[in-house]
Amino acid sequence: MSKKAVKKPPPRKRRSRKTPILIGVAVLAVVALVALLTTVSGSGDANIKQTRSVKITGQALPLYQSGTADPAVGMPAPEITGATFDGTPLSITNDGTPKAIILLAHWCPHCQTEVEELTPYIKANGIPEGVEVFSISTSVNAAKPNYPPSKWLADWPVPTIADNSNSSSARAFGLSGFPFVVFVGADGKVVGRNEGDMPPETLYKILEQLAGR
Amino acid sequence: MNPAFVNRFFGLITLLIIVVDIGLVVLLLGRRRSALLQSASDRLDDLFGGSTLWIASAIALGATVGSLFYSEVIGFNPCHLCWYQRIVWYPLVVVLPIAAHRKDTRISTYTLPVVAIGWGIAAYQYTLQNFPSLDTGVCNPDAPCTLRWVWELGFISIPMMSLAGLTLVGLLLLWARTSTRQEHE
Repeated sequence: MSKKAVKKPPPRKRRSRKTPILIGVAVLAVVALVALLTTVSGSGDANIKQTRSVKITGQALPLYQSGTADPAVGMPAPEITGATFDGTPLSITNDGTPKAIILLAHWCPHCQTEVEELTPYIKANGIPEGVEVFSISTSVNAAKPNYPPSKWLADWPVPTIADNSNSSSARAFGLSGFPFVVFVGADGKVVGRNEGDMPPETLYKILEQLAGR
Repeated sequence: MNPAFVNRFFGLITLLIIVVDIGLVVLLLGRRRSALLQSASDRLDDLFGGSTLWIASAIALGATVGSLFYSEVIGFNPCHLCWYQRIVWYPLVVVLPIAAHRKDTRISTYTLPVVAIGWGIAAYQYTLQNFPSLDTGVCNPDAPCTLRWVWELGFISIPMMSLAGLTLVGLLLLWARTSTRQEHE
């Protein structure tokens, strides 16, 4: 009987530990190069400013706390004198007309949804007679998503004041979360505040109540 | 440093990691059934087998440096879900290199559950980012969990980076474990 010599396969040799390091460094270098080549810097319109100075008169409202009785109800609402993104003067004053003031942040997903839902609704239904609706673009941060707010709100049919870089208007209204709505009665006093998503139908019901219907 | 470049860089790295994740899942699940996959698995083992835990350590270090860079240099405020993920990532930077140095693949017994918890939190946050209506409906002015600080290539956010990285660390730990078993067999 002839026995064939069975050759054992040579044990697999593992490569040097340097190989994965070299591969890793090469991959990182290629990725960094691709990232550099594909990074496009944005450009802005010099006439449009994302924040503008605002003048606030009156007492600031206390910070809103959801789930508790709002201490701001019955307090006179602060008045804001400022401008839109393009510099057109715009003020929110206690002029005898009930109003809703919507505070928005460009980076907030819930504000984005709110604007997305309200824009066609307002365009289709208009604003109920006897009330006014304003918005304030605040908490602006160029490092955060969906910047600049002027571009985001270009199609937004509500007159909008650009808050200053310190978000003074948001602070004056006692904002605690976005989106934030302050309802002001004809007497200039706060009727209620709300933070978070609000369906257009709900907002309109409140506006109609404010208008006395 | 330009945040757009940093986002793109981390986005591309994440894309690469996702591709590797998918490849490793295919290899780990299919190598016992397919000779081709077994051969590919052996080749990979030749190339990286001795360094699996070191690679996992490098990923943990990259994730830690990346998260600190985003919060401390670029200025992205970490939300509470980000913090829970940090609690998972940061100890791995210490534990994994020690295990790699000692060639202790039993580390997977202790680290895989931790990685799985981090994975779950990252997956939850990524879901919230895609469906903000699942959240309370309110954005925290300081650090909302639903905020997409980064949104590269149409789907890569910071939680997705964390998700992909934790997946790879988990797969590498499994790889190291099964690779050692095969060597002993």
